[in-house]
Amino acid sequence: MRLVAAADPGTPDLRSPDRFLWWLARAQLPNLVEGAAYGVLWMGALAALPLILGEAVEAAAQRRPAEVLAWSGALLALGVFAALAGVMRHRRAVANYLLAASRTQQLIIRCAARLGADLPRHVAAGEVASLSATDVDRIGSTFDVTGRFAGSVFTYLAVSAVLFVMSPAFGLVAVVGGPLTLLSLLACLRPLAHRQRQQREAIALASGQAVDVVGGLRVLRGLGGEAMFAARFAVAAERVRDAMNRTAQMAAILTALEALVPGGFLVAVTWIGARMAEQGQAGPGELVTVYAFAAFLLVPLATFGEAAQSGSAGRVAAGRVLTVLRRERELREHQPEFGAPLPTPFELSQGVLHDELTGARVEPGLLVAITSSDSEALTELADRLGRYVDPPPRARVTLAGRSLDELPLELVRETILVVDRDAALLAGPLSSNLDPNGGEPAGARPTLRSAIRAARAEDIVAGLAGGMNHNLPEKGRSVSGGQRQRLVLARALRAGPPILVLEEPTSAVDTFTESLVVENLRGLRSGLTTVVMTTSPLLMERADQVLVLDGEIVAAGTHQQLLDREPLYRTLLERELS
Amino acid sequence: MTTEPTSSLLPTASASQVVAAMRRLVGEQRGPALWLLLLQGGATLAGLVGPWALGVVVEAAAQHRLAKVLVPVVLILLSATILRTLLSWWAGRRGGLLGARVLTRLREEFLGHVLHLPLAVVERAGTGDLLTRATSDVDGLGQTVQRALPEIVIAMVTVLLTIGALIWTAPLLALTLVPAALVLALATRWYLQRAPSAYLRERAAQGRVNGLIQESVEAGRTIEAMRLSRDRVAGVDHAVAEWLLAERATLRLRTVYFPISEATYLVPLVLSVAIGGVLHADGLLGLGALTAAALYTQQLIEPVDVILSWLDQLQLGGASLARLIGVGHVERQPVTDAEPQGEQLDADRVHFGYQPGHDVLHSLSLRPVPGSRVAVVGPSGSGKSTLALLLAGVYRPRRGRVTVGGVDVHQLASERVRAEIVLLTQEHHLFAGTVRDNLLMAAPGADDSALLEALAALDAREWVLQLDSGLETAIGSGGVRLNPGQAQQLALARLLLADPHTLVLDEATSLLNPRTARRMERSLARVLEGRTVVTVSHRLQSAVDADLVVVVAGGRAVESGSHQELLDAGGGYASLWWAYQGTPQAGPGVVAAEPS
Repeated sequence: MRLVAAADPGTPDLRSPDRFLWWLARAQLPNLVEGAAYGVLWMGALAALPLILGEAVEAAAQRRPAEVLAWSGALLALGVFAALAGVMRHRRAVANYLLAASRTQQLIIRCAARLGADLPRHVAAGEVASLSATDVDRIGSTFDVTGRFAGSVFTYLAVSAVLFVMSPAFGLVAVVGGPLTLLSLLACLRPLAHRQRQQREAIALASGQAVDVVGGLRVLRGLGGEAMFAARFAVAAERVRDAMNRTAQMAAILTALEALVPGGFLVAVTWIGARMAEQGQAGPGELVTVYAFAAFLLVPLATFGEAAQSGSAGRVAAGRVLTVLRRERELREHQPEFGAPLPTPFELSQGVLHDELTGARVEPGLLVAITSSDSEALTELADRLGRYVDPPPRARVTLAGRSLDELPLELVRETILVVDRDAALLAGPLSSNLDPNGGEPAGARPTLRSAIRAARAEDIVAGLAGGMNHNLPEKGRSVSGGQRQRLVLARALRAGPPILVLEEPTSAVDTFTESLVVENLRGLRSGLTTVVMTTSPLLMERADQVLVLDGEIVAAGTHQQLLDREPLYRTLLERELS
Repeated sequence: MTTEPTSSLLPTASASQVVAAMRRLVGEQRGPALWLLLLQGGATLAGLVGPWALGVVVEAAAQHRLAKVLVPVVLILLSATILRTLLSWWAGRRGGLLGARVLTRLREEFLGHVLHLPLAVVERAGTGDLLTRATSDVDGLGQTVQRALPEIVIAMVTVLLTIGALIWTAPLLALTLVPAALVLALATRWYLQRAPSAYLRERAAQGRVNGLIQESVEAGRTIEAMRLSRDRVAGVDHAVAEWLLAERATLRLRTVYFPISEATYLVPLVLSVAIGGVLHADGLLGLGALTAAALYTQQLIEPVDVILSWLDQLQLGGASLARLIGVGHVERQPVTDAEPQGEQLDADRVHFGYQPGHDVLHSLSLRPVPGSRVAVVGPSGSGKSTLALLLAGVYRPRRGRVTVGGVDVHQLASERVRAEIVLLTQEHHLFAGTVRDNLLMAAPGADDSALLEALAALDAREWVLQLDSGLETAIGSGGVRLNPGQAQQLALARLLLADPHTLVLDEATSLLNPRTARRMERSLARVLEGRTVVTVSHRLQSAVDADLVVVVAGGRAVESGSHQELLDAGGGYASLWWAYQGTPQAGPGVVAAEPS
């Protein structure tokens, strides 16, 4: 058994949920076959126990102690064999679950990597979370049950056949009772699954409220409202209780069925068996065998029900996974002509960055501030400059005379780094977070230490337990908004892209620190192109050039020039300062 | 403060506290629990009829007197089956009820404890740990309580009664249970010593895979910008490999434990048949008793398996329970009954540090004239926010006092403090609920006109009324998304409704863009006329209109006076102000008091 993740999950068959599941199955076919084989051996041994037990009782009835001991020994041997086959089956089942689940996880992350910035725009993170937790689990379970399913098919048929041979009446009980039981089990399983889903929803709602309260606890404890929230939560908890009760009601019917079915079988076979015994056609041994068979038959029948349920849940889950896996990248990407020479990022950065829609021109090697009273417009401009959106028709964004959408995306990303307002820190050690690509400082890349110093983030690093080795939780939740801003800036500086576009890089930083950061930014990026989208007078004052955006670029010049001759700029600043 | 370590500050309940809590919780549900025991007892007894009936039939068949007993025995078996079906159904319902009630109580109690945590604990422990407790621990425990509690009760009843039936049928054969029990006990002990930590590791490894994937989606833009896509794929592949390793570890445990327990389950049957067969040959045991006893040992397998399979879950559930109940064991500061006399807030030569020997504030004094506006400015890390927390009574000064109306603020109960002083930070949490809910929390008795008045004071009345359902509109997580400015306005309206005489605003507007922040502070100033307002801010604009500006650096007040006085004095504040204005009077060199 090789329980190892695939080095490469391969290219899945996305045509339909069934084809996807089949594609997964093919990749682990040997394991599935072995699981089925062990399932047959295991359940076959369990099904054979009643036969041996019957022989032992028969021998006892005949008062032949030696034979009794021999049969007892056989019983023990068969039991040990069943236990061993059972654990082998279990091992294959776990592997089947894990191989399918891990492969699906690997496909999901590859899809997320391919879609990049597109994905969060179209798929809520919570949705993917439930994909990677719930749906992957369901797909895994579909494969988990296969071994037991195979064993159940085999033993149900085999036991029915043995019963037929013993007496057609016994066989009839199994053949008629089996499907009846299965139908009633399925009739319960479906509503049970439905109620369990409702219960999960109710629980999610209550957990959501608890999370909400915890998240806003400082506000809550500072302002009040404890009684109100406790009352609201009581309602949600009550709803969970009701949902749980409804689930329990359905589960109770299943429990009752589990008592009724073998009970009914027992009554039938005891009656038939006793009549046969009366006529001398069956001895005590047969009676015991048939009785034990009747108790055993519920196991394959219940497994059929479970397999049917997890099979259909698995298909639904596969369908949901496919909706994400099928997504295509929205950005048009031109494949460069084969053999056509591509410029290097450095060569590109020596040219002008020009947005035709607004007329914004960024000269190479300068620190350019772009300001506007409309922060949305600044964000849109940054997205265009970094090519996170396709340019509008007939309004290209060019760099060194070449249209950005005709360059490979990879090259654009290497040349231009846009740090958006929501730039996130990632889980993991701080050092690899701030310096994910590592490497020696060279050209535009300063050392990590000087990048951190320039962003005035040393005190943050010093304050975190473990310093640079501090393990950030997901999305860097252990640092505040202002600290995140400075760490993100340090990361961008260390990355040292030829062109750096920063959106409001110092909005959450105090004025004292801001003025130092801006000075360091100038020093560290001297000779390199840096664009800041900002409304901070401090940043504008220190920039080589300020562009004023009002629909399009309406004024350009140094801070002082604009102050002197542009009334619009003065109004903008006055509003900022007054 | 946000960089404080987040662990270890919330207590975990001790084993004896967990047992006491469990006893209390089940004790509160004595009715449902007794019902469950009674019904399940009946169902189990009815289930014991089967082997007995077969024993009678076998015995009678051997003695060729079946005709006499057959009809009554089968009738008894039939009625027992029907009775067992009904009673199991009923017991299942009662069992579910018990689980649901206990869990509901636990949930409500936990939230009750959370809602009354002292602010200092919330502030220092952070919300990460609490969040884990509120989600994974509650969910994990839910599974355990909902299913384990009733199933274990049912299984225990079944085991006890079945053993009773075995002893009653063939006491000698009941002894065959002893060796099996011994082997099982040893194997289970071996397993349980290793299982919980292995399963925790497995769960954590799996959670890490999910967390990484979710983060990759949320931070898709950052990952693409930093060109980390390949690293992410490699990272998830690595996490998947770790997860499979953790799964293999638990699988190894089961590979040892499962076959031993499964084989051991059969030992009583094998021994019963062997010993019983020999005894029967010697005429010491009836064939019927042998048959019934053998089948009773078979009937023991399922409930024993249920109990054993829940044991490792119970251990994990116990750990979750300890963390949930632990929140209720947070130590509380003694609360004073003294009533503040007047509205004077006074910080008098306050010293404070988060760690012994590392003071963040040094002999800092602040005594705002009631009704005046005080601005506290200074660089990040200078202790401004800590001062705000002390003024609001969250922490207790190490030396010196912070009083309101002569009473130490930290000694007032949270519920009491907020009538005097409210601290507003940049954390503008909007709760999932209606706009009205979000406002009413600060003033439970307020009517709609009061709410609208507060909104109007912050220029928020118009847009709130234009929302789809006005005050009834659902906002917060899952509701209508408001922009940061609107969220801020609601947070400030909430503050107005709370109606304290003193407000401490700690960077309350720092996440807004400066222009909006400025407008907001203006309208706030209008509304707060007559109240004492202490504004802690890194933006100098906040200081312009203040009656008193205090510049804090290195935990000390280094300058104080009105904006104009400070400008005239020409110190650090003045040079920074001029730099910020963009006028050439001062260069950055004057600002940088410390080398850059």
